[in-house]
Amino acid sequence: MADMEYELTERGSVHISDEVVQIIAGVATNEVDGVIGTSGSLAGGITESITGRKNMARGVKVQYDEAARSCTIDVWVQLRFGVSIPEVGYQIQEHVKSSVESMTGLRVNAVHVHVVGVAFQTEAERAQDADQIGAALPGEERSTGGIG
Amino acid sequence: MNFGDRFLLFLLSLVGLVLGVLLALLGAGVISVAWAASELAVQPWNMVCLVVGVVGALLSIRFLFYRSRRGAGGPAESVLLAGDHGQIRISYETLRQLANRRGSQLKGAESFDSRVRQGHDGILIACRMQVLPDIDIAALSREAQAAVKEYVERTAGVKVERVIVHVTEIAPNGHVGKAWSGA
Repeated sequence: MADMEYELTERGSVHISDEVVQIIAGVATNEVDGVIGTSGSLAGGITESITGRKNMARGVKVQYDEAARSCTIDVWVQLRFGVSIPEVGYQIQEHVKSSVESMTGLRVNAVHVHVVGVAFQTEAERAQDADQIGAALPGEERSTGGIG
Repeated sequence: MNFGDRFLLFLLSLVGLVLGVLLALLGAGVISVAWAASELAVQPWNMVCLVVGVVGALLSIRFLFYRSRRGAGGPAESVLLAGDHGQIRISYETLRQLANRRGSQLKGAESFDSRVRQGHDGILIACRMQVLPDIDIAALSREAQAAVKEYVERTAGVKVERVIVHVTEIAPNGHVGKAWSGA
């Protein structure tokens, strides 16, 4: 992926690395309520585990259009159970677009959101959900659930 | 994962198995290191080593950077919604997780699993359910259809054309606490 470069003033040009936009978009995505995280490749996950540092550019792809000084962003996300997926998707699009545009001056043509899964954010949430299931069922009629 | 990837993974597993056994034999002293080195350095085994090594390395790189179709958001494995600033793709796996969560909450359902496919006028959800004894199966099936359809449509904002329920069997021992794995 080529970096974005454009003339800003008479004194020179501005060069924006693709990773900068990826990180801005990744951080903006993670700031939206209902997002558990962005989803990248297995290699990215292994790298994060080894280095112990969260890669904020993970799960974000940026395509530049240098002529129009704009970009198209794809984000792969995992959301929290219980949220409205379209609603959170719209919020991600809004927040990523405004963040990238305000911080870089680039125009964002589109933010494509790819929802790859839903999960519980914490074990406490999972346990609470299981309790709710259990509370809805009287005594003997409780079942083991799970996927058979 | 498509058939080609499964075949490549099978090849990688074979290469790993052979190398693992050889290493174990070397470590156990069954095969002498000097003998192995002398044999593997001459024709034709050096070529075999070269080919197996290159193929194994390429396959490893392939799967190290593997991103499933759901991760890449392939059109056949996701539902597309139009947003104000671009598309929102919801993977079938996400819809499956939603259906499983709601289905597992049903009173009388011992286990619940589902598959998602594209229909003519929305998505099709095929559910497999194991039920507790002494349950009105017809009523439970209708409840499952309504509950899963309502939950997926409300949460994901996609139209569910049909929910097909397949009751596989009566649970042999269903008198334990309910827990949902989140899968």
